[in-house]
Amino acid sequence: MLERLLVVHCPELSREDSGVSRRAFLRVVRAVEDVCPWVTPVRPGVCALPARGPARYFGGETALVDVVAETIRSLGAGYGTAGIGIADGLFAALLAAQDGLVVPKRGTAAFLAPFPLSMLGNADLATALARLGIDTLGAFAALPARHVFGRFGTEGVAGHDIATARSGELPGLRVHPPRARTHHRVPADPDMPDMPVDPDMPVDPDMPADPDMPADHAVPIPLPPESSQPGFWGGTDDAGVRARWAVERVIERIGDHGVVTTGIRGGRGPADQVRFAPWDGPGRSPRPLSTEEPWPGRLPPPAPTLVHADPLPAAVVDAREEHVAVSGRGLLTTPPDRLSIAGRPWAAITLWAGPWPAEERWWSGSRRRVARMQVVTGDHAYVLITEHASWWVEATYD
Amino acid sequence: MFDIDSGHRAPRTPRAPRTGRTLQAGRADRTGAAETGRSLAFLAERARAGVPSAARLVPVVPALGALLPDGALRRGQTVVVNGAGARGAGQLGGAGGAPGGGAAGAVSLVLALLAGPTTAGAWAAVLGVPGLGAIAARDLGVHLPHLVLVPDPGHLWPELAATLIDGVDIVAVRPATPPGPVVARRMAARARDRRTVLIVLPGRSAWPEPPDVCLTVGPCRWEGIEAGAGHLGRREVVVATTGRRAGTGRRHTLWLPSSDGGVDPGEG
Repeated sequence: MLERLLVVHCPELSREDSGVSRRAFLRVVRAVEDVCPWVTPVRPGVCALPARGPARYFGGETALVDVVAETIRSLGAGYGTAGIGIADGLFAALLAAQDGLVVPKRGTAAFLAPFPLSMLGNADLATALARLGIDTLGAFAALPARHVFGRFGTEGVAGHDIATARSGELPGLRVHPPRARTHHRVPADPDMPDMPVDPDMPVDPDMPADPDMPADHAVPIPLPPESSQPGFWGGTDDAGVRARWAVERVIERIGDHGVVTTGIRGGRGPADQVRFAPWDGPGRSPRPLSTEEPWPGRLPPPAPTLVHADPLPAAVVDAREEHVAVSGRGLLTTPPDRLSIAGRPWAAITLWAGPWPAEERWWSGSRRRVARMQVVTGDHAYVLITEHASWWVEATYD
Repeated sequence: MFDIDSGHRAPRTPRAPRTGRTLQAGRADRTGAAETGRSLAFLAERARAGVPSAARLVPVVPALGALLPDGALRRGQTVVVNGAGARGAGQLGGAGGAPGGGAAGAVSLVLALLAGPTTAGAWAAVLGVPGLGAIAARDLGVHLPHLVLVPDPGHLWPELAATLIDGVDIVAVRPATPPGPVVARRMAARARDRRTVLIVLPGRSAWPEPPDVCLTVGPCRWEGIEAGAGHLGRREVVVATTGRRAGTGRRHTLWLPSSDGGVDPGEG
């Protein structure tokens, strides 16, 4: 299911080489940001935001469009006419904005159907399909996906996913604006305070200085990390350059957050100790933090190879099929005998250790009393966590 | 450019001549006799031993050398890693996405395989394994800055794996959907073509293409833990090597992980 996106398209403010145009567009972005969160610039003159939440707040998608339009109008003259549209996924939302349309939910494929194949920006693919008599996105969408893969490869699948409204991202849709000023670093993400910021970070030498640009307008938009480090690759080896090239194509395909690197920080549970950060380029990994400190309640090594972001519900019973719990004094009420994970068949617990009580802050940020246990069922070993007599699999030793 | 159906065949690996005699007959008239004799003797020796050129090998940590036919990973090779009980009804069965995948030990073995290459400067990518434990990876010896994760590629996994094969030295993939024979064959051909090591964790679904090397984790035995006491300490696993390039099946015992989280050769 694709995200509902609202796109604001300001054709008069799309000149990248003009400071006046850029500043005006940034004022538009800020104004929209005042009424809706999560506004992201897509390319000069175009920004997008997830429409679902704001639409609910303002009483419908049409009402949301009116609110955004009124916000931009209230900036005064000089911002041109903004086209505003809503559809599923970025590709369709961009087209909808140009026509000022709100495409109904699940109507995106039908909306795209009459557009010519050239919209996909892949001339080879369009030519090949034209020979088969396929000249619109709708006709392309009617082809079965598996045949598309066999005949046109992955670029064909990328286009087919767009035409069938299964994907809204296509390489080239997003054009990140270059960083305006070298001395204004992108502010660190508050959720990732440990991300190293390199004071000697190389800067983009091609970025022309813009004397009429006030300093406070220099970096108003947080950019994704990989686009915020122009010129970083200069000194990397050949393998790193090739890896970056491949990874950036993957990012183009599935978005910034589809590709991650891992980092390690302190914490008691396995999930607390692992941090995933968006891909930040070769040679850059989140700084490992004090992993050697003996955290009270931290599990001794070896560490589990899989840490489940969403722990899996589990049931633990004793030999008489009574549920096992941890008492207020941190002891098991009865010896565990069998384990079932996510409703699957019971497996005999051959070995177990714990429980180790811990009082900690978990997802909610509030203090909670939990206990952990390690169990082995034949070839498999798990970290179980329990709270209020419920059990979850927190990690697996695969 | 993205497609794994690139339409052209992978270039054939130049086959090492089978005997020294053929070699000498072909070359002796073109080069100086004494020098030729020496280098040809060397080449012939290498051909007899079936030793590939060092540039085609990617070294692994010492404990794993014995598992692999070449004593190392070989560029362009496809390696399938099966966990313990891969074909049985595992506790956490289901297509590769489920934790454990009904196959214990496969993720540890893959991470251990990535340790040597990433430390030596190679790049590795792991697709389709959400929640990969960074601490376990580090303790097994993986150089984390050279490890790229695509945790949830979904139905795009063949395409994304193909893209990564183009640029990353080692690509490990756990298919989110059962791989068809065509996809498997093309992916293996692309890895061969791009000289990338392709590691597949098929989980409960089978990899339809016969791999160069197939590593299967056998029964696991944990130490350090007993009914209600101690904690998981180290795990003894038996790994069987089979496959096209592996010759007759071999079995090796490993501590995976050892008590410090690394990998050690077992006593067995």
